[in-house]
Parts: sequence; C-alpha cells; structure tokens
Amino acid sequence: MTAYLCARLCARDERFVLLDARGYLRDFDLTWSLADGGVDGAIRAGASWVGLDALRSICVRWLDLPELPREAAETAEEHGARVHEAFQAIVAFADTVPVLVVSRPASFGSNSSKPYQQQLVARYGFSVPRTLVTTEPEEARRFYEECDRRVIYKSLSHRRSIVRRMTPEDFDRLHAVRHCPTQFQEYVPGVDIRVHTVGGDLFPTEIVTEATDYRYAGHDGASREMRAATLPPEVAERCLRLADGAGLVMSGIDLRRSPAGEYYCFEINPTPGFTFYQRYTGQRIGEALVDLLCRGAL
Amino acid sequence: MILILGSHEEQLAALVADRLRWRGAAVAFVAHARLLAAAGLSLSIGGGDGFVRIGARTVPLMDLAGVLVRPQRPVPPDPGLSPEDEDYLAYELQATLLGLLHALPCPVVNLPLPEPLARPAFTSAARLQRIVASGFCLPATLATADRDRAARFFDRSGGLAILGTLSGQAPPRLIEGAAGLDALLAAIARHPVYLQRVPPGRWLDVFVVADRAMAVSVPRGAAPSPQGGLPAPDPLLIDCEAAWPTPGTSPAAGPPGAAAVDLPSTLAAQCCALTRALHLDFAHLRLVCAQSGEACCLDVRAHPVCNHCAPEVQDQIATALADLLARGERRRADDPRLWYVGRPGDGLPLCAPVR
Repeated sequence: MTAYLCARLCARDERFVLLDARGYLRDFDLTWSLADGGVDGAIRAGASWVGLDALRSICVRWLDLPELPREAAETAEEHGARVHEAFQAIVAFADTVPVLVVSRPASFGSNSSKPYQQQLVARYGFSVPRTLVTTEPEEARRFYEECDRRVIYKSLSHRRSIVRRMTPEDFDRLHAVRHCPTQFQEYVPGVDIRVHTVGGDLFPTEIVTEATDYRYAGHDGASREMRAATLPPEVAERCLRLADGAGLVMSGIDLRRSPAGEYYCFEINPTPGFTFYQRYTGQRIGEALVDLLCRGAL
Repeated sequence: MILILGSHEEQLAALVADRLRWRGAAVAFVAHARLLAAAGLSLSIGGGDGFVRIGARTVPLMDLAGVLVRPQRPVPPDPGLSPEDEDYLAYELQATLLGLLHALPCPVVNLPLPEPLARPAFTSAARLQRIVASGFCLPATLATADRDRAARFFDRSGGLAILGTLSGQAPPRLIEGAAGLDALLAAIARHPVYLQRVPPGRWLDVFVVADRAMAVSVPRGAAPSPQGGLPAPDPLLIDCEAAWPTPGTSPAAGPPGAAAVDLPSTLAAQCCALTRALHLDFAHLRLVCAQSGEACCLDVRAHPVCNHCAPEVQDQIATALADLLARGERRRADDPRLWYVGRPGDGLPLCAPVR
C-alpha cells in the first residue's frame, strides 16, 4: 500500500515525505506547538525540516513501534515504556495537526471492539446478524440451535480475526469460552461486498466465494472471484454516512447482500488494504486516495 | 441493581455506593473486567438481553439501573498464559466490555469510548476544538523530543512550566528554575514530552457531574509525584487514567483537604458545556482563572479522582453521581454518545488560522 502510494505520488511529481514509525527520533522527528488556539510545528526528515504550513495532508497507514535502542541500564519494562511514549507522540501528532489526515488514529478505535462497532453500524440503518457474546458454553449451544445450526464465531477485537463456521465438533471445546468471551453470529448467506470509501467516493467490490471468510479462500481451498459492483443509492449513501460518522476519511466496509436483497454490514475497517481489491477489479481506489491527498481537502 | 465497575476500596466509589444504599438501591462492585468475564456474562447484541453473574447472583442486563466505571486495579498476569495469549485476552476483554457497556440501556458513567481519553486533552483536534468552543483558552504548549527547542520554550516561559507525557501515563508536574530544567532534560533524553506555559491566576479543580459543577482551589502546580509508587497500568482498562491512585493521593491532584470554591455561574455553565461536548457525564477540569475572569483549561480527565478535595466536596460529588445513577433513565436511541466515535480528519481549522 505504502509503496503503491509513493509510486503514484512520484508519478505525479508531488513532493512528499515518507515517515516510517520505526525510525522515529532517528530518521525523523516531530515538533508542534499550540498558541493562541492555533497549531504550528515542523517535521524533521533526515537533515531537513518541513513546516506544518507546507503540509497539505497526511496519510496514516499501519504504525509500527519506534525502534529505540535499549540503553545499558534500562530494564525491558522501562524500554517498553519509552517506546510506548514515542509511539504515542506520533499518534498525538496525527490526531492534532490541522490538515487533512487520512484518517486520524483517534478514529481507528471503533474497530477494536466488534460488538461496539456492530451497534454503531446498526444505527446507520444496516442490518446486522444476530450476535451473542458469551462466556457460557450452554448459551453458545442454545444460540447454535436457535440459529438453525448456522453460526460463525470470531474474535471480538481486531486480534486474530478469522471467521469460522461452528460445527458440532466444536462442542467438545466449548468449555474454553469460560476463559475468554467469544462472539457467535448467525450465519448470513449471500454475496460479500467490500466497499471502499475515499472521501465522498465509493468503490464497491463484489466477491463470490464459498469460503466462510473470503480473505482466506485460498487457504481453505475455495475459489474466489471479485468484480466491481454497484450499490442501490440508499445503501451507498448509508456507507458514506457510516464512514463519516466513524470519523474515517477512508474506510473498507464489509457488507453481505442476502438472497432476499437485504444488506448486512459486518465491519468498517479504518486502514483497508485496497490494493488487493483494485488489482482484481481495476477500480481506481488508490487514485482517488492520491487525488484526495493532493487536494488536501474533502 | 447498580453496578460499580471498580473497587470498594476506592474512596469515591465507596462514597457513591453509600449514598445509593442509603436510598435503598442495590449496589454491586466488580473490581475489574476480568472478574466480570470469569464470573460469567452473556450478551445478545441488538436483542438487548443477556446477563452478568455478580457473585452468586445472575443479573439480567435489563435489571441494571446504572453503571459507574471507575479506574480499576491492575490485574496480575496469569502465569498459565503466554505473553501473546495474555495480550490477546486483554484485547478481547476490552472489546467485550466496550460492547457490553454500549449495549446497556441504563446510564453508564462514564460510558467508555474507543478513543483513548487518558491522553492530554490537547492531543486531539476534536477535544481542542471543543475546549475553545466552550469558552476556555488554552495555554501555550509545545510537544517535542528536541532538547534545544524544549529548553528554549522553558526559558521563554520564565523557567516555569508543566511537564507531561503524551501518553498521559505519568501525571504532569510543575517544573521550575534550574532544577526544573534538569528534570526537563532528563525526561526528554528518554522520550518526547510536552511543556505547557503556566498562565498567572488561581488554580481550580472543577468536577462536573452532568449539570452540576463543584470546584476546589488547589495550590499552583499541585501534583503529587506518584512515579515509582504506582503499579503498572491495567491492560484491561478502557479509556482510563493509567495510574491507580494510592490512598490519599491522585494523579494531578493536590494535598488532601482542598477547599471548596463557589464557581461563578458563567464559569460553571462553561464547565458543564465542555463536559457535555466531550460526551462525558463526569469530568475533572483543571483550570487556571485569571483576575479578568478568563479561564484557561490545562487538561480534562475522564476518570476523575477527588481524594484531595475537602470531605464536603467529595460528598457533593458522590451525591451528584448517586443522583445520576439512581435516576435510572433509559438511554434514548438518539443519545449522541452512542453515535460518537471520533471525528472526521477533515482538516477543519483549529480554533484559529494556522500560522
């Protein structure tokens, strides 16, 4: 993604600075100040400084932890705390500077809790699957029966997030939910649609697969086809409002269209891996992002 | 039943529980999220039904009349888990708690948000804008890892400033003179810091509970130094000040017994407006009020600790919280807090043109 963006910006002769969070305090530095209600500051990249007034936009991708060398007298815990502080400085910078930021890290948080995000999504008018979060094996078993044995399970946070179908073989290990809350969802049949929003632009991609989680179709030995699609205007509008409400300038929204034509929404991703989709479909998602970054305004 | 997600050993939580019990309300404490999950919980998203087990009782979620979320004790790591699994469990519990508290139809004080409110208020464009829109000014502030810039700022501030960390994990402290410069250089040698210029005026700690504002006067720079005396942050905390206060102290607080102050009604209204604008029911605002009446907002904390306040002020705060919880009003579907997840990174001008 980052390489793609850099290549596109170079092709347009746009000036940009690539900051790899791992090199913070070594390869680059950030300084900003607040006075009279305004924000001023500068970025050091290598030996040169760039003032915030020269900055049109910032694109935030996945942030790695800064690689600060561990000092001789420093414990692992102290070193970890120092790395955390450095990381928080980068995040605070991206959350504060008064330019277009795609997207501010503060808005990434909704993705850290799927049950939270599901409630948010429902308020924007999307259908959401029946969901149970439980530490009680009996409840999980009851839910499985209530949903006609068509249930998936997945993590609640963004960690280890792989969707699996629940089967009777899972009953033997259901006791494990006592140790960690687990999310069970009614399986919704239908066609997956990944919608990328970039500012006010929308790029729906339809994915046809028999895999439970299309991202891992190859891993599961299932086929996968992807093509550009169109959405009914009211669904498209809902997607844009959801992204806006979630504070995301760019997002990846996971929808599924049921056989009855109902649109379910499972998730909204704050840093979507759009190149995977545009490679298959030729959709100009990245170009729209580059346009937005160059424009510096929605 | 009213659930307090926190420890009965915490002063404010215990006071609130007393006030609630005095009114005949049933109150239960759950010390931390892991206990809640281990005891048993089940939540149907969308359906609104489910239950939590508290001790030997199974409480339907619909029977919860209110929840107070307080800073929680650190949870010792489970020796049976690898660090990776421990990490995963912490994330899952946090996600569960966030989903659970948002699904409850009863009042939740303070309803946690995914945005990390533990950070200093000025590190978010959204919060900056809301502070200024509520009629407060902000002190000149510098965030940097550059020792020369920091030293120059400190010098230009007359050798007096507040020194803090950008994560908000360590309480900010007032530094002054040559010793202050030494402290600044020692801190910045380790990690980025922020410095706030200290405006002249009277220091106030204002505690807002819904539409009531209670204030105490604190000495300039009042902040005990709990560094080293505090346990590590609880990985299960949601949106919480990182430090668990030791008895009698609190992060960024003052000495015990800080005296009550009558707030001018305009200022009280401003404080309530800011708290509402930040989607909080309960907030701690640290202000410096100039003689002209202008109030400068140094910081806003989403999980206030008021151990340093005079007992009558703590009583007022506890009573106001008990009132709020006992009201038991069902949250409306259009409650803005349920919609709030941050703000667009749309380059909105921050309070004034960028220079």
